[in-house]
Amino acid sequence: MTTTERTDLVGAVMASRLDVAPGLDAMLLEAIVDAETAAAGDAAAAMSAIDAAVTAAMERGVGRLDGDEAAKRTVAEPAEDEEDEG
Amino acid sequence: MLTLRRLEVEGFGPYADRAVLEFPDGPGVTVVYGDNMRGKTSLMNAIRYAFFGEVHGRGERAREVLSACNRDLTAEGRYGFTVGLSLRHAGQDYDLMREVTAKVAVPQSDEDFTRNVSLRRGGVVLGPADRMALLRAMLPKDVARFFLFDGELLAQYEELLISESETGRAISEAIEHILGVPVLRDARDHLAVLASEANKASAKEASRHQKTEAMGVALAAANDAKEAHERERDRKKQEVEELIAERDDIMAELRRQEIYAVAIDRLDTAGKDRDAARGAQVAKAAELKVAMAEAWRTVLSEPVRTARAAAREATAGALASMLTSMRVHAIENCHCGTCDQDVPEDVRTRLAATLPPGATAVSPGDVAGLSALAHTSELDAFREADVRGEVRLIWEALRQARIDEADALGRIAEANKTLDGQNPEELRRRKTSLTEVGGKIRAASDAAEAEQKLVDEQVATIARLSKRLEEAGTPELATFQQRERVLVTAGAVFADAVDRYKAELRARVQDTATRLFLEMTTEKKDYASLSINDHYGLTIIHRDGRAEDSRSAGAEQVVALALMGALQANAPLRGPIVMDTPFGRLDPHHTANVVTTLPSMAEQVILFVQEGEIDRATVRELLGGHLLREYQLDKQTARRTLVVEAR
Amino acid sequence: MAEEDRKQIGLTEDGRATVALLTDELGWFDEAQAAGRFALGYAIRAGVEPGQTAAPVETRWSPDLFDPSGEIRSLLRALYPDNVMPVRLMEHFIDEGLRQITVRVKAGDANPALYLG
Repeated sequence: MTTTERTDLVGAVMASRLDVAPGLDAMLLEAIVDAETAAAGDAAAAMSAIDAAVTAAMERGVGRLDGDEAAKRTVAEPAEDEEDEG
Repeated sequence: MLTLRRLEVEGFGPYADRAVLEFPDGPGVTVVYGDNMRGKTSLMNAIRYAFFGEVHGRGERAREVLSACNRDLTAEGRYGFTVGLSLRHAGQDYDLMREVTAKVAVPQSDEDFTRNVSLRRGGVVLGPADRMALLRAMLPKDVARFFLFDGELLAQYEELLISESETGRAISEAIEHILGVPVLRDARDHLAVLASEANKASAKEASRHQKTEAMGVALAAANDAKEAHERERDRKKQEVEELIAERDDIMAELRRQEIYAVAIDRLDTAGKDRDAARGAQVAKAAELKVAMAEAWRTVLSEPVRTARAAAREATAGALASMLTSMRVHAIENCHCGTCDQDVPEDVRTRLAATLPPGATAVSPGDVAGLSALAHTSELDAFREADVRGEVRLIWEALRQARIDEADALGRIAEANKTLDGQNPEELRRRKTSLTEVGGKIRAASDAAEAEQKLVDEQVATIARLSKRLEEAGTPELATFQQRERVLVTAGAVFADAVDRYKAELRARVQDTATRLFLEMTTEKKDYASLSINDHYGLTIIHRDGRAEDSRSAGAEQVVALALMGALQANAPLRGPIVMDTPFGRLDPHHTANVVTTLPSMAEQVILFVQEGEIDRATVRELLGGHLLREYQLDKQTARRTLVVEAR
Repeated sequence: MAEEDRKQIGLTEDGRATVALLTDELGWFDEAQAAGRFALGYAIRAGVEPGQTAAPVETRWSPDLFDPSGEIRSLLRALYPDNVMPVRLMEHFIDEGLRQITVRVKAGDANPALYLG
């Protein structure tokens, strides 16, 4: 996949994120896109990679039920700022 | 990005000898000229064979390898062929080679051949798994139709407008595949599977702790029930798919049956016409003989009339001579031999004045032509008859009856061909089974829906129980529940993203297709745009906002080409467009427009063209600097073609 | 040249073949003598000179059956007064007529109307 195509896919996912789950970790969602692309149709490989990405995200605090919303987000916020909101 | 660099075939189709096409680097168009049956389609098939290892005839059905072997060579007992394709993908060079060799002296079927395939990168042969993965990545089979465009298979594109057709669905899925939708759709589906597994893990963990045991067990049971209903639902959906396929088959059969009913009618009518024509021939043949029995009189009429006229003239002459002779006698003898009276002087003087100069008496026996008198009566006795008009009419009618019979026999042959191998009872039975299958589809759909409702109920139960488990706040479950939360939320995001992305893509494809269409169409004043539906079917929109309901085959072709170009422009999968005689249904203006637009449709375009479709000078002029190379297919014999570089 | 007239009208081998062609193949005539009469008339109209058939002939037709009304013999007397052997004359014209017709048929003129003038 070229960079342009990845950008398009990630763009759609990020736009949906804003609508559906604004608090969800953006890095995780990008990682899922990359996992599916790399697996190229191999379901087991894709799910394994997604599982790993989720584990990594959880370690960053994603999905934890505590009062501080910021703790659920990753530190790498600039990725979100660069998003094309078009 | 995929580009083809070199195609080499030997023993394939009409290419008995090794044939090579080099595709120059750089964006542009390579044109291969060849008349019908020279081997253009075989080159397209060779490219297909290189990628997929399947031989295709007209239409998409796979054929036996034997059918692709060159006939001249097989006549010599040499079976098999090689197809080699050098290509570049994602910046790397590859050599793909497929070789088919016969295992026996005279192969009869695919089993009698050995097929070898190798894919090299930088000279190194790749293993089977890598090879298959790479070939799939380069050109997935289900999207091949958007790169290898056979002008004759246009009907497929029309299916896109028919929402329920199997082909239409298959094509839309292929389009979505080419546009990268599977990444998001698969993510959505995989996240759902993982979320379900996470929930089951939570349930299992919950059932290990006293506080949450009951809920855990209930949750596990709900998951099991949900899965059971999902399996049953999927089974019913599968049944529906199969029944729909069966119904499509039956409907196709019934459509053919209509054709048969028509064929039977035609057969009956043609049979009656044949019998009538034969009867007419018999009658006219008899009439002809009756008329021709008198034809000898017709042919003799002219000579007889001529002779009669001559005889009459001779008779008149003879009578005149006799009269003269009698007068001379009377003058000389002063006595009339007829009335036996003396002739006075004054009468002799008067008679002498009537005589021509030098008149003498002749004896009756000397008078020539007296015999003509006898001939006149013989000639008069001849009964004339003119049968010309009658014979001409009879002959015309006979000729027409023969033509009518030949025509009827032709229609009978055609009707029999249509009906060949058909069993009318079988056809009738199919009509009944259509109703039955319709009922089964409804029943299976209803059952699937009912199962879905049960799944939904279980999903609600699972959600309820999961919430209660969360509220229980058991620390041991926290990690499980955290995972589940993340997966469910991510799943919801991707579910939304699938619809969003598809809508965006459709809009982009529509815009690009509209642009290309307006470049290629000759009705720029009338047409405003193309509109895309949910399954990528394109409708032409007039400037007044109305949709164009019926399209000519030519317009259909231009729309299909616009779609191809739009997909190429918007797809993550980029590759060459290879077109086999795409101009068959286009008039010269459209053809010129399409040729001009080609370079903007893809980086690499390979065009197989029939000489009659468009002439070389025009192509050169239209493509200008975009034309990279020309090839010519020269027919050596009916079974052998040579590839010649023309420019 | 023979001194006596023949008693029967004969056809050459080629002539018999043409008669078969005209009756059986092309279906112009029901019976052979009708073809013979036609050929005779055709030859006379074409201006064939009186003569005798040189080729060997096989005896076929009785002149009385060929020309029951006597019109043909009367015509021949009127048209060719110097001829004293009417049967040989008939035989000659029939043979010549069939020859000429064969040439045309073989050239492709199967339509009898074309021969009637």
